[in-house]
Amino acid sequence: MNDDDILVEFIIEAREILDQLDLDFVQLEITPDDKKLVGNIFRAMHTLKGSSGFFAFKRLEKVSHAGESLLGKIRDGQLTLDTQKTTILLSALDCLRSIIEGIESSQTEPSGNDAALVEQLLALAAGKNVEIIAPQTAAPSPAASTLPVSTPAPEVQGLSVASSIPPAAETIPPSSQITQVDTGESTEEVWAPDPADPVKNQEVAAPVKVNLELLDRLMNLVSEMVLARNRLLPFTNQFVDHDFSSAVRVIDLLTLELQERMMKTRMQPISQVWTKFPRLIRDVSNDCAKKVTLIQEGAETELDRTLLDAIRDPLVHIIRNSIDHGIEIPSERLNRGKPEMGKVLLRASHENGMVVIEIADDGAGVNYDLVRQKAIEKNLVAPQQAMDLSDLQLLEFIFLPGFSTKSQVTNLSGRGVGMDVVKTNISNIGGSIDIDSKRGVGTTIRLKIPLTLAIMPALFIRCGSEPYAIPQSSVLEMVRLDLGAESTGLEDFYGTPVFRLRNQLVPLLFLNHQLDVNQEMPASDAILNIAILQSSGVRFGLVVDEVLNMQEVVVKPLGPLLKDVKDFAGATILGSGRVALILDVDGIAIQSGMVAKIQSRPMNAASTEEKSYEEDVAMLSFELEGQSRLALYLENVERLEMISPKQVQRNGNRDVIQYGKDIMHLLYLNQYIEGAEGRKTPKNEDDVIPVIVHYTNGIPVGLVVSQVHDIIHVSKNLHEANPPQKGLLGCVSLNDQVINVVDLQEILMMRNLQENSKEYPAVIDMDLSS
Amino acid sequence: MSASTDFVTFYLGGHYFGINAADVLELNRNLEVTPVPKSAKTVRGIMNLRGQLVPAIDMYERLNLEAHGGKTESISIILQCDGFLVALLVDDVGEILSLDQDTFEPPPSNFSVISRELVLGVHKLPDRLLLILDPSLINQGSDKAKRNQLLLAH
Repeated sequence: MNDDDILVEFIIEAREILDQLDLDFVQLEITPDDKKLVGNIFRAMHTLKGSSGFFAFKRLEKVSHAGESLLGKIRDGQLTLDTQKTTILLSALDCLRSIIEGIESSQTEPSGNDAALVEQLLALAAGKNVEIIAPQTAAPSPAASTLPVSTPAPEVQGLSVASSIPPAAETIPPSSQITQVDTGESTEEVWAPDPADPVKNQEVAAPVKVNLELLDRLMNLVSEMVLARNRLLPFTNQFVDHDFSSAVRVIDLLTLELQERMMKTRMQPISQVWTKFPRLIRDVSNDCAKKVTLIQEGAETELDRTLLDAIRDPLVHIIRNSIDHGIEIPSERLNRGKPEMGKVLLRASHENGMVVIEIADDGAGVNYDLVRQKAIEKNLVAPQQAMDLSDLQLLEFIFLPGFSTKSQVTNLSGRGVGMDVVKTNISNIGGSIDIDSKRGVGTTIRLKIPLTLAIMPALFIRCGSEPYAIPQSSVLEMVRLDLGAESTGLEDFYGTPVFRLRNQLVPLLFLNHQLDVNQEMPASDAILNIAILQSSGVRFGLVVDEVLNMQEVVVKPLGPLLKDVKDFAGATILGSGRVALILDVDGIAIQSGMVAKIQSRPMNAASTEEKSYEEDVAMLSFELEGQSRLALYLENVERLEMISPKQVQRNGNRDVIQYGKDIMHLLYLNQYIEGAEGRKTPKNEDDVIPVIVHYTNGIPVGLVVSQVHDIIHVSKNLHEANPPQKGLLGCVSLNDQVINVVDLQEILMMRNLQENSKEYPAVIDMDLSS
Repeated sequence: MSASTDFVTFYLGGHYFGINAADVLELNRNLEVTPVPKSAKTVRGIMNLRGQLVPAIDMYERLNLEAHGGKTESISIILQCDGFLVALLVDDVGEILSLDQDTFEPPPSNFSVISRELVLGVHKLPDRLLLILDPSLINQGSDKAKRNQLLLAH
């Protein structure tokens, strides 16, 4: 995004703010005691001022700064809004609007003198009475005084709802509402802002903003369309009408495309918002005479566009704060032994079905003493109590409106708007915000944005008669545990059932008990299906009745009636039209009381775990005919697949299968490993061939084996094979068994040599002849 | 003559109920309900109404009615209340009646069978009584009941 784009966006944003301010002011005169409304107006003015500061639009900045000063006094209750103040604020608004229009047509700020207006605003802010002189630069004197203050028209009542929604959260069609006001009140023409004016819209090619509800509705309709299509498809088999079939086929394709496009309209990478930030950081750090670099991680993380819009302003506020409050000036940093250049880290990731955005700086951290002092000054806490407040409690104050530790009001921050706005905006979209700050080390702010609208892959399992979805992000692995077999039984650890997974104790939860579906216990020789899940730092196994499939799901909130059920994160609609619930892994772990139990009695001493990480290496064990104990480094394994012999196709001299969008070559490992016997051809078509998928230079290669066993953790110390054996690196021992480790590089090299020499080794011919 | 109001009427456990037609979005037959484990008893589950999740209210539980011969509700009445959709599971629906305010009376004081807070009043029809339900309480009430349950649990 270049500067022009940023300017265009600024103009669009400024227009929206001004339109909203018009509405808010009119409403405010009717309900002058509405603190929330005053807060909204103040913040909008603040945003406008902040943005104009970056573009160095001095006039804009001065007028909005003066307006903000007056509004600040009104918000704090030091002054009350009367007609005179409204009039002057509205003329400030008109002045701003005319400047914005000037910028739009000429790309630069039009010249003009607002000194009189600014003076009046500041004088009013200082509590003086002023004679209103119609400002020269502003549009004709607004007719605010003609508004009937005591008789709110019904239309205006309706407006109060609309105006309490922050502009970022929803697109409000301003023109229609303004029109209502116009018809209800005898307001002058000047009042109607006219965003629909075609000439203006051509100047700034504004992207079409679509109402959120409309988009939601469309999304639902598309899902319905898909289901209706699914019901239609079986009919093509019943009727052998060619025209009918082709018509259905067209509908099928169109629906598919429609669905894909619809999904795409909603999902956008977070980099869209982030592209603005390097510039922001540069400007803000210049203004503060600080040196700051920005590091971005996870810019490709996709977020629903509505959420993107909603996090834009909060992120700007936080970053501004990080630089202005957090990062120290270079000389101070050097004194403290930090590099001169400060760092701001932006990191986005998907975590447990949430999008987590971290903004971390390596600055001075929150000045807790100053926060405490300010809290006492503002009478928020008694001095004696303040001393007892923990750091965590002190951080809470930061989110209060009007709370600022900056003693000096600057262009950037210090008025105490910021963190409360951030919190309001984030909680409006159902997110949460955490601050972690260490003195002298830095501050990390974590925004957790729910995926209410986002799509995520999920694992479907069955419990009782119902399918449930588990977000894939929390699934570590799936395990089948045969209780009948030796050495694998369940054990009891202070009342929690546990089992051993690669020498680590893993606590178990039974989903049927957890959800009160039934109280059945597995028989002593049953085979358990266990999903190993990771939640809030606790790893546990969830016993389910059956593992179904993986599927992408659209998460829908359960709504107010069911929000108290903490075991579910939401629900999704299956292809069949049925509703399936999505498990909240964190919720389940906490509800079961297991988290608390484990934290009080760690099962696997942390030290041994770390040790095992250092000295152990994970391998996948498998077997070939004649070689029962082989292993491959797990890092070489991308996926495991079971393919049917029917899928295998001949391509020249090799066997390939269609694998997603790629063509995957099959590599019969037994041809390359010493001691392995020729592969038995599957006798019937229902047999499946286990294949280990490995990616080499981005191309999938399928390693055909006869059986895949397990993931094993073995010592890193490899006994090298001496003399060298074909295809083997060496061997390791596990539970007194010797396991041969496959040398994949050598095997791939051998294969390439064969391909190049166009010679086919005898083994393969033999294999083909059978 | 006072203005008349349209009521959607339905049957539940032998009783005859009515609900203001303006609150009713639509009627649906045989929508599949997915049970939600650990939810309040009054919520039978959720269902999919053209891509929207709608909680299905078990009206027998909500109204403390005794289900003689099992619950066989097959029709759901979709209501729009407080901006949310809810579905009431009922045995059968009757006609839409246009009734005057004249026949309306507050609920009798000896009304013990049915959760009285939900009943706005009674319309006396020639042959039987029509109990008028308050739609906004159907939603809130079950929420409140749920909260009480939670309070008790802690």
